[in-house]
Amino acid sequence: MAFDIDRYTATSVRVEWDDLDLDAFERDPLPPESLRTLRYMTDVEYHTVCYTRDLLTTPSHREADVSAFMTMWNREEFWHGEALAAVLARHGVTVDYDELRAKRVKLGWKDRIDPIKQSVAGALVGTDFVAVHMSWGAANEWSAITAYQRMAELERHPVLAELLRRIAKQEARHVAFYTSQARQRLAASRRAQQVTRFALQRFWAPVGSSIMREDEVRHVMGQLMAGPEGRRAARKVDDSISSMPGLGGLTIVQDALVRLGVAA
Amino acid sequence: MGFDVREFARSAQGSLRGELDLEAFAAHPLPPAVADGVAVLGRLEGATMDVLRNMLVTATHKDARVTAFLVTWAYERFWVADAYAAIAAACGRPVGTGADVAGSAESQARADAPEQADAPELPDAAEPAEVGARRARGPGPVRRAFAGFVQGQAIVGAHLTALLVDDVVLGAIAARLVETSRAGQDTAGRANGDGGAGAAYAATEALAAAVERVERITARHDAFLREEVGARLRDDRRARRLPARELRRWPLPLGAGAVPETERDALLGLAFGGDAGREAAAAVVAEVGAVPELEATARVVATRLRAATGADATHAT
Repeated sequence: MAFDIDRYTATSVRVEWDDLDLDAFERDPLPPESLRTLRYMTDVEYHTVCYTRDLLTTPSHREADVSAFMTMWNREEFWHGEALAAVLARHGVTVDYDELRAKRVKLGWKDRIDPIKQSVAGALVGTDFVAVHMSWGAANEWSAITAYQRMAELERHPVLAELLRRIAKQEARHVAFYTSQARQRLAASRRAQQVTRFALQRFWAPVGSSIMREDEVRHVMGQLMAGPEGRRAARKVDDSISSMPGLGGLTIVQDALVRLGVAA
Repeated sequence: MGFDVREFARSAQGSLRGELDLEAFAAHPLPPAVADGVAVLGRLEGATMDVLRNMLVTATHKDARVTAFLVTWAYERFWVADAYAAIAAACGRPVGTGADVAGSAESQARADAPEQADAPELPDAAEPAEVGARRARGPGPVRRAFAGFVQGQAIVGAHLTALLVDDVVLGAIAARLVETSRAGQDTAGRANGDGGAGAAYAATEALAAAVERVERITARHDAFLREEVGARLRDDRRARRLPARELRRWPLPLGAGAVPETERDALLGLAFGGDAGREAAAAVVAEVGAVPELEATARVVATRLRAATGADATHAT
């Protein structure tokens, strides 16, 4: 079913947490390893605007639906960052704009060259390149939902679980947009399937890999995706990705876990 | 205490449709030229992704406070665009919803056409609308990204200046649309012998109310932009040189690449042509020039408006 962009824009809101009892974290704080993972998630959510930058270098930005989605999506993800930062603040961890800026500055040349690479690749591949971005976005959003669900399962903290449920619910609408776009574009072009398959297989890495140190990525994946339950969750994401036209058999999430040395 | 970006983001304004008197437009549509102008203005307001595309490939994307503002700014502009689209649609101009106006000039006609990453060389076969739109957009993200390597942090002030100028120009266009509609209504009223209370009265006042509502939204954008521009240009000689130079490389209004050339020129002619238009253009130039360190930028704005309309924005009385 086609994604209803008008309905999405009309109902897009910032995630609410004012009604949640954040004082609960003072009575029942999260352990350091979970705070480290939450910090990673916060940075990734705030960093969405940088992923937007890469998307905007493709021809997709000219399409009204895509442009409308990106406007709302960016805002929702920004508020996910704010919500997670509020939880961290209750544990004495401050995330402010200056610190985020310092982290982005540290990313260096690779970060500065990325949009140029994306733009050139988009120009060489043409509109089929949009399928790569949409499939990539779907994989990232599926991974994000899975990560939030796993965090809620592992921590069993009622307030955190409710907040993560609300965030994951919004991420599910993002998945709906990306998969609707990706399926349509992949189904329409054999070349789009080939390019997307190649790009995902060759370059995809867990969300946040391009902005966080590898030991942080390994920590988060180790906490959330290790063991039989973690692997089952990873397999579910892979199954969703490989259900898209031309992407059958891809196991990019499980492959990434193996590369990172995350125990099965 | 500086501008509170978090509070701005928290209290962002969403859809304005519930506040618009759309029935007034349906009962007494605005004059066709004004209704068309409102439709184009909506597309200029909604072209935020066209603008961000070129800003985020530079150091601007690294400043988390600025990107937090931009995320909310784009959201509010989306709904401003939607409001103008709703008004134009109620006047019988089929422009659709905010999602429909958030795309760009060729999005409807050439959604599937390949785009060059940076297109200084235009293909011979390019359609006139495509050629015009590319020219209007100015350099693409690759050239801007390379330039950004050299410009460093100083470019952020130039981008924020461009956004401020855009707000001033779009605000002036909106005000001129109201004035033009009022003038039409007075003429119709005199012709009908009813002292100016012609058929378009209700629609004009509904447009004036909508424009005033939009002004209250953009006032917060301007507050942030003026504060940031002031702080960034005050102590940095390099940053002070960039806004005027950079503005020459941007379309004006910034979203002009999202609108077909003929429609854009018609709107700019309506807003800044003629005696009243020249006065409005001069007021825009004066407002920009009154911002500390933006005298040179104001001169560029004057030149750009003169080029767009054939009017001299610097010598209006």
